[in-house]
Amino acid sequence: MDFDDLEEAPIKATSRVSKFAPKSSKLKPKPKSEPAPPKPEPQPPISKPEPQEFVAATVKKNEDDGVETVPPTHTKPELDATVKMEEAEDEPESVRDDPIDEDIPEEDTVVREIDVFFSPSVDAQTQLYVFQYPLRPSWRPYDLDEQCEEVRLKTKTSEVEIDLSIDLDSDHIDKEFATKYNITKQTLSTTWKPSHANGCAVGLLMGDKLHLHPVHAVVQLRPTLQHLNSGGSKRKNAASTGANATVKIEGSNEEKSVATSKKQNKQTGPSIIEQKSDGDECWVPLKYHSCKSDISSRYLQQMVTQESSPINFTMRAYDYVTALCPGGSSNNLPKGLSKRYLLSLPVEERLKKMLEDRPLHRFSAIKHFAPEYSENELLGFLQQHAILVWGLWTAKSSLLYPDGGVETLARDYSLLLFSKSLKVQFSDVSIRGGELVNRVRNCLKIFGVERNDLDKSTGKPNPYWKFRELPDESFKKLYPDIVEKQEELFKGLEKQLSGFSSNVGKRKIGKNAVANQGVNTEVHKSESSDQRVTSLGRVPPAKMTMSNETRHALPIALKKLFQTHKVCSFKLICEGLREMAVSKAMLSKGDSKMAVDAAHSLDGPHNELMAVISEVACEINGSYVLKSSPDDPFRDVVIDMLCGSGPNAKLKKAEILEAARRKLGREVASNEYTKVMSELCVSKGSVWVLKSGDGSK
Amino acid sequence: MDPDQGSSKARKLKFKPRNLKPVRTPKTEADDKQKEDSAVPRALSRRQENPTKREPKVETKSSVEVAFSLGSSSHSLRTYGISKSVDSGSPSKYFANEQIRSRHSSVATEDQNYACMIEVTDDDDDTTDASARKIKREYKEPWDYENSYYPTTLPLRKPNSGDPEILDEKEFGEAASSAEYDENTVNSAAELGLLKKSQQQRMLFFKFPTLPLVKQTNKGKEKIGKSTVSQEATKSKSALEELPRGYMGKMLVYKSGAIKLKLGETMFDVSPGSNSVSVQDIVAVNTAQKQCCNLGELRKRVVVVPDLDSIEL
Repeated sequence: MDFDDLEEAPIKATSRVSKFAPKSSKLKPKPKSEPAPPKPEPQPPISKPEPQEFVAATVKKNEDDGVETVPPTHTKPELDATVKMEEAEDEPESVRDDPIDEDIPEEDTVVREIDVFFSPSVDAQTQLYVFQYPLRPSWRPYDLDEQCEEVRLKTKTSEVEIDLSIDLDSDHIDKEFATKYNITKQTLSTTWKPSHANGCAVGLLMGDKLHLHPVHAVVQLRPTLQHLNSGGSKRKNAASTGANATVKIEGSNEEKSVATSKKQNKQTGPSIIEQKSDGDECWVPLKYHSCKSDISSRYLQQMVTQESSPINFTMRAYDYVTALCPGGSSNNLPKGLSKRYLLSLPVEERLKKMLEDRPLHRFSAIKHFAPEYSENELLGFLQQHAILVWGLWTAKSSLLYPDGGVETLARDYSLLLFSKSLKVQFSDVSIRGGELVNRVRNCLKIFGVERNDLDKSTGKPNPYWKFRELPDESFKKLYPDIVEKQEELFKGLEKQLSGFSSNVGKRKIGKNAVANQGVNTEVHKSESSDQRVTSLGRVPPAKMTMSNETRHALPIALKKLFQTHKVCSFKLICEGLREMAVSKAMLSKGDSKMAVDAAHSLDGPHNELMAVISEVACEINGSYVLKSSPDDPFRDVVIDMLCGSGPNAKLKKAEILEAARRKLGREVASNEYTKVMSELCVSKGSVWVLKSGDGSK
Repeated sequence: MDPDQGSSKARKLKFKPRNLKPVRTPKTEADDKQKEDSAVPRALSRRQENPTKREPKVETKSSVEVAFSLGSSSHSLRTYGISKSVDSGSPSKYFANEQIRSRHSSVATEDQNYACMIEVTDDDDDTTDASARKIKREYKEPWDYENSYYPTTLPLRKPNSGDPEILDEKEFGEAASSAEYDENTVNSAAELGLLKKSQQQRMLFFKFPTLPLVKQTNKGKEKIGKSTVSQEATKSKSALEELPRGYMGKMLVYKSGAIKLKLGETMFDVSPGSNSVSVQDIVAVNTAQKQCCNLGELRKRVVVVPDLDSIEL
């Protein structure tokens, strides 16, 4: 009767399984995921005809099992039957859950939340290591709990050695071989120095809490064949070891197995990698404790104790990605503010942030960040909040420093200096007062790169600042009216800042006044004009885009031009150079190439052309006059008087002769007087007036 | 540990009838003690999962296989002789044969995947030949895993895994070689064992990238190139050693099997790493007190990667 009852129960269970076999076969791996997780490689999906075969196979096999298997009388088959019954009960429940999952396939809800805690170390003196045994599969570990005698460690290099005892009395140990080579223990050691485990941590998962601890090093331990390496290096505490015995399990060894073990040892002998261990550091012996000992459980409890203060991971997404992948060239990437952050701001605030962020901006870049604005609106905003320097926009000082003060003054002055020339010499910073000079120098560093020139005469380093960016010529060509407005702005700035230079001039004039008594106002003006001319001469020629041929030909052409027109405006100079090139080319003479080269300077920037003109001629209220030769000092006196009198200067003969007598110390001959005045001036009534620069006489 | 010992005792009792009758040599007390000592680690090793093969290990193990080939062949010959004698015996020996069959059924119940494959092949065998069916049912393990120092054979497999021919076909056959890795079908939570809650301690090995921890708060309005380069260099060095103690964030396990780690405002993907076959232990080393404590065994590797899809630039 008992046999009949046991036979009926499995038949009923299998009948349930056969009905739902296609679905249950898919769901079977899930309940077993905890004790034995499935393989990482996913199985290929079973095709449609295969489940039918599977059903038929299960039915047939069940019939066969029912016929052939006779259940024994022991109590264990009852346990097996109960296990089968439990499995049968579990399967219908999983089948019922299946349609619910199919109804809502898109929703992916959170099933479990695990709190993650971090601890930098178990305690101050303890470090975590990962011991790996590559020659042993996971189901066949070394029996360290029973066999481990000693663990040795080098703390600096993280080298580890483990001594394992050998049971020489077991059946699978060759006593004769062990005695021959004096084998008493086996040593596992690191073949090479383990690398530092950067970014690796051990997670201890208990319930819904995960405790992370950083790993100091990952160590790989392999058996050493020290006894076969007779000439190898000797280590402290190292003993001869054998590779033949690892596990205490009895077994019968025949003569063949003995022979094969001998052959194996001989084969592995020459292939030993000699270990080069450092003799500097000594080994630290440690006592081994298994995972069931009290000390190990104490360490585990220390690892689990948690501290609830949160770690602030406050780095923004943009900064984090930049930290993950630092850019190769830091100059091209915008710093500080990310593009996404800027575009999230309203337009005006965004543009102000941009101007504040970096000192110089190209108009095309600004337009790229403000797609909402049209060009006119953008230019209106920029003219309100920014200043144009060499085609590049920079924030007004009132935008950066709303309260004004010394910073505003220093920044405006440095902008003024750079607006005149791409290169600012240290001597150009003619300001008294240490604090203001330092602030101006800091501002010059922002807009330019500081460099040093060695003075040829004295050999001392002479600092200067070169403009940081290349000038934007395209903006000047596209918007010439805005460029003119900005130049007017700089003239206004120059008037505001003229207090500095006038103060300096007054001090110098004061010194001269002590030397020369009874000086009148005209002499003051003439001396200030002298200083101005000298300051122009101090500016060395900057690095020009003109070629050497053009630079060489231009002064010669200018001198010829001034022979024709004594007084020229800048416009007349340009027209004259162009006409000269055309006429020379038509005549096809030898010096036509020189004239053509000189005309090429018109294609370059005007400031470079002006610099060369300044070498040859001097400016009188917007017009240019050829510089005087050293043997004609009277001409200089007249030029200075014209400069000092300002625009529309009117000179009288008596004044000219008096100034010349005072300065030259002699009377001026009448023919010299007539020659110079007819060259430079036009007589109108009883006074002399400077010729107009348009070429008409 | 208690249920493991119980199961190991149950397994011991299964082997007693077969050992007593075919091999009638008397056993000494020393043998019994050694059995009891080796039973506990053997029982632990049975719970290990079946590994996948690694290429570099094939090179290291090939010489070993050549060395032990003679030994393995002798073992297999001996076991086949024993089985023949059992078939021709009396009903009491027929009872011993039933023990072997129940052992096969227990192997099948342990792993459902193998059971599916076995049943499919049995269907094919039914159509061909009855004698072939008998041979495959009577497959035995070539050596005694409990009492002998058995050699290592390739491919590496857990003891009592089943018929090597079936396993070889499954692992190296045409279907397995043509299958490609699809990351969308990988269930991270199932592989790492995070689907269900359990109070038992488990060790996981984590690999972290650079963490979003802010160190410097210097933000000048106008920066010079040199200082920014140095700032970048310091940021990239933020590793686990410089983290303070405390609460990091939450790890979210989704229904589909995806795992996310949220640290601050940054999301990270958590996925299983490569499966390791070798033994790995976590050891706490205290050099002051000269202690080396084994804390547990590492079984799973976890790789943490920033979720770049969720980062908005």
